[in-house]
Amino acid sequence: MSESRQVLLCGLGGQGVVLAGSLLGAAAFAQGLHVSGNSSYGSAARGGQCRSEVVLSNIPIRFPYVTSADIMVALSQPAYDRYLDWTASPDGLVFYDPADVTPDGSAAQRQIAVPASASAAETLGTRLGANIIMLSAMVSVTDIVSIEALKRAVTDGSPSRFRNLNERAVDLGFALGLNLHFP
Amino acid sequence: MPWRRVRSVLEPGRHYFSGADATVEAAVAARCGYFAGYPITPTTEVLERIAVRFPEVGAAFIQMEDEIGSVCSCIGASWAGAKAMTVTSGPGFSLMQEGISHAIMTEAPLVVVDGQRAGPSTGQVLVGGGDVMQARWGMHGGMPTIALAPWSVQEMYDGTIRAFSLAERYRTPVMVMAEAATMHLREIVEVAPEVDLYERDKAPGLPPFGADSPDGVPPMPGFGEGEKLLVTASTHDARGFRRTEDAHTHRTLTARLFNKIMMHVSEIAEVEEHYLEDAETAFVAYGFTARSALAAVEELRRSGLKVGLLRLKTLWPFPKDEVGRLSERINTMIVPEMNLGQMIHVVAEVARCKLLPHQQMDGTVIYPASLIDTARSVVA
Repeated sequence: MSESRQVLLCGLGGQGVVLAGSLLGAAAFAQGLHVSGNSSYGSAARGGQCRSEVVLSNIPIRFPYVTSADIMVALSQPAYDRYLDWTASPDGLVFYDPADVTPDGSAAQRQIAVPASASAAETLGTRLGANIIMLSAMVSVTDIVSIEALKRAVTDGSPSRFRNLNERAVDLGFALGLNLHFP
Repeated sequence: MPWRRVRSVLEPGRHYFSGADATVEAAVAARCGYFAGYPITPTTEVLERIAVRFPEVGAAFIQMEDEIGSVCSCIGASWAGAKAMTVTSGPGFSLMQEGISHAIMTEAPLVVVDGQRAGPSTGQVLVGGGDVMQARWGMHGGMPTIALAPWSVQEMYDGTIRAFSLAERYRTPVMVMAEAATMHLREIVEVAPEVDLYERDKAPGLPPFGADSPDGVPPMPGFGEGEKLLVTASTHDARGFRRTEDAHTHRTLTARLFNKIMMHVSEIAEVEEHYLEDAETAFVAYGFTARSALAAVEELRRSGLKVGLLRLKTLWPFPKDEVGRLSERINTMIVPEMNLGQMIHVVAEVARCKLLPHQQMDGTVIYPASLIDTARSVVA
C-alpha cells in the first residue's frame, strides 16, 4: 500500500454504507494501520444520501476526512452522481453495482461493475448482503486490507442477526473480485 | 499529595474509537463517579456508552429530564464527593449556563463536554464551533473559565482526563469544547498504562471558601464527611455564611475566583507550535479546524511558502502571551473558525500584526484547500 489511501463508500441510507465503512475501518485497525472513519449522520443515514469515509495510512493521518478519494464504492445512482467528482481523476477506482448504477461513460476514472445485489439475491436469497459483497470485492481487487482482517471485522462487527449472512457475503465478494479486472 | 498515578481501566494500547467513545473512556479513566445528561446530537452516543460502562465500574449514570437538571445534579454530586461530568451540545449548553455560573460561585469541580454543532439554536446537527465565546461569557457574572479545544479523538481522551484534573485543582467547572467533527470521527487512540489524576484537596476544619492567598484554591469538604457545611451561590464568607450586603466579602470572593484562574494562565493554557521558526504568516486555530490548518501549512511549505500554525489547545484562559509574542515576529495571522468570528476578537486584543478572518458556518468542516487559498492570497 502507498502511504495513504482514501476510500468513499456511498449509497442510500439503509443499504449498509455506514456499516461497510466501519467494518473496513475495523479491519484496517486490526491490521495495525492508521485509520480514520467518518459517516453520514441522522436522516441521511436513514434513507437519504449517505456516505462513509475511511482514510487508511502507514503513517499518522493529518486530515481525517476524504479530500480526494482513491477508491469509491457506489451503491446507488444519486450517490454515484454526487460523489464521482470526489474521486481522484484519472487515477481513482470506482466500484459500482450495475443493478442500481449506470456509470458515466465519459468519466476519466477507472470504473468496474460488481454485480453485488444480483449475486446476493442469487446465492444468499436476499439483497441484504450486497454492501458486504461490494466491500469484499473491492478489497479483493485492491488489497487495501487483508481478507483475513476483513473477515474478522465482519464476524466481530456485524449485528448478530446478520452475522452469518455477512460472513457468507465476504466470501462471495472476495471470489467475485478475483475475476474482476479494471478496463 | 493531590496528584495520584493510577492504572488505566481500559487495556493499554491501541483502540479504534469515536470521539464519543473516547470521552466516556476518559471519564472512566479519570474515576468519574457520576454522570447526568440529556441526549442531544452529537453527544447522544456518549450517553449510550456511559449507560453501559458506568455500571461496570461502579459509577452512577442518570438520564435527566433536561440539561438544567443535568448540570445541577452534577453540582450536587460534586459536593457529595464524586467527580462529575455532563455532556451536551449548543442548545443544551445554553441551558446549562446558569448551573455553570452556580458551580463557579460554589467552587464545585465539574466537567462539561460540549459537542458543538452549527447553530444558532437547534440549527443543524452537523459540525460547527459556535459556542467558544459562550464558554467564557455565557454565564452571568463574567468570571474566568477553563475551556479546552481538542482536535482529535486522541485528545478527546487525553484532554477530557486533563479536564477532570483541572476541575479538581482549581475547583471550577472545566469545559471541553469538542465539535461534532471530533465526536463522530473514529480514530486510533493510544491508551497509556497509567493515568495521572489530581485528586480533591481535603483539609478537615479549614474554611471551604477562603484561602490565605488572593489566588488560593481552598480544600473542599463534602457532605457526609463530618464537617458542618454551608453551600450557597450567594455572596458568602470563607465559612460559607451568606454576606449578601457586604461589599468587602463580595470583592474578596470574586477577586479570588478571578485570580485563581488568571494568575495561573501559564499552568492552564497550552498551545502547540508547528512550523513557526521562520514563518511570515501563521494560522491561529483551534479544534478540528487546526487539523485543516496544519494540513494546509504542510502543503504550502512544500511550495516554499513560510507559513506556520499556532494551535490553541486551551481557549480559556486565553494564551495571550503566546499569541502576542508570535504576532511581533510575523506579518499576518489567519484565524479560521467554524463560526462567524469569535476567537478572532480575542486574538485582535493582543495581536500586533495584520489579521485575516476565515469564517465558515454551514455545517461542514473547513477543508485544507480553502485555507490554502486564503494563505496564498496573503502571500501573493
